[in-house]
Amino acid sequence: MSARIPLTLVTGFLGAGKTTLLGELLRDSLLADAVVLVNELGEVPLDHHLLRQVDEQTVILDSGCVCCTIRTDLVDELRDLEARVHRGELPRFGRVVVETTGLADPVPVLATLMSDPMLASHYAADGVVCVVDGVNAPLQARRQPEWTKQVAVADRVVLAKSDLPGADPATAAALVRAANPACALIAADHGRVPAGELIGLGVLAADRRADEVRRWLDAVGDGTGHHDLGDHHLGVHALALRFDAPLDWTMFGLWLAMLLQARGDDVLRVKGLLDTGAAGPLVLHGVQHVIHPPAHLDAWPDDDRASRIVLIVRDIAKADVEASIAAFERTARAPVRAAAGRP
Amino acid sequence: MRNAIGVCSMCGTLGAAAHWSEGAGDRAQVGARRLVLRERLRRTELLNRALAPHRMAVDEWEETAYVLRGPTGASVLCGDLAAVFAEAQRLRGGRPLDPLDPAYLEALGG
Repeated sequence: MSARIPLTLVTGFLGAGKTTLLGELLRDSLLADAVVLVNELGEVPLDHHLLRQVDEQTVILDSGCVCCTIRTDLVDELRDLEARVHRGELPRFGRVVVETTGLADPVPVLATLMSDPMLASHYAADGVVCVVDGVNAPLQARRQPEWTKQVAVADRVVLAKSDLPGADPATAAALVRAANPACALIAADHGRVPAGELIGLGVLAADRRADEVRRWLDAVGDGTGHHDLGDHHLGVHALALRFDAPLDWTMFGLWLAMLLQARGDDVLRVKGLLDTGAAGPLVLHGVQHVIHPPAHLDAWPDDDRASRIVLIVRDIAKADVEASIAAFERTARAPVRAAAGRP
Repeated sequence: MRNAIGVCSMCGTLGAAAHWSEGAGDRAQVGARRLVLRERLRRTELLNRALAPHRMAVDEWEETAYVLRGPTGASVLCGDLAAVFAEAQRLRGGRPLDPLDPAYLEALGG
């Protein structure tokens, strides 16, 4: 199926400068045919012909996990917009931008996009942009877990207000790197960032997935570079895992699903290139419980054929992860018994 | 029997795409039903090994779901792998099945 409508998520803590950034972005022709969904019309006026206000309404579904929090407001609004386009009441739009509230968890938006059948077939996550307040980032990072979550799930981070008195852009940037070592960090110039840096990222597009994962692998290295700041200030750090022998995908998928059910709140990001024995690697990309369908590449992007996985985690030790995977591998290699319930 | 064919990306939305763990094969291979079934049976086998320390088990059900059996005999129909673990947690009174727990790993390897 072609041409799902790209959806950009703009997140960031209270007062970070999301609306200012959005106001500047909306002047760009890239967003001329965009629908903009905001939760609150703030003090910064937004001038756009397809600006819609949605009240953040969430439904926590039966299992109670974070990813099961479905943003019903988005589902209703996007369905309504589609219906109105079909009735000829609205022009066809080619892009959606969703601005979350400052205290919102951005993950349910991504989960909603994947889990609602209509939305999943019509919209594709283009990227998550997080605006960070260059003045207040150290305080917010220390006191507000939402800050870390918003930064950790971002594909691009905009450092705003770094030209204001009291700004400490170096510390803010270091905190961002601790929570999200691979994101592109872009300094706003008086609230402005070229739209092309944030819009049209296509981070999950088949032809860009490998590059995105490789950026992560390169940025994290062996996972030892960010521990101090990350552990001390945010309680998060990057784990870099490497497996030289091919990974048993059935085993690994089972292990990861079990880990995400048990410790999903502590696993902020998962990225990896996995050698499952095929000609090319399997590309793995996930945000908390939201794992995007893994895709096989035809060929490896470089000479390194080992499975490489980066996890951004909270309070999980690399040694424990490695021991657990090793135990599951041993279990998976044990002689096969007759499958339950089958002849 | 409770029906836990779930409602989200982890818990298996009814009518939505397959769980991410089931879509990783080569596209040409995924289309080959026999390979899909073989993969599914192996997943069932590995699930049973992973659940055994918690005195739980699963049966594959019509190539579309798993029947999870708890330690007290309760059974739940689960749409996918994630729903199995979510329901297993529920059957344990909300205590998660943590694959990093050293005691669990010892039981798994024993």
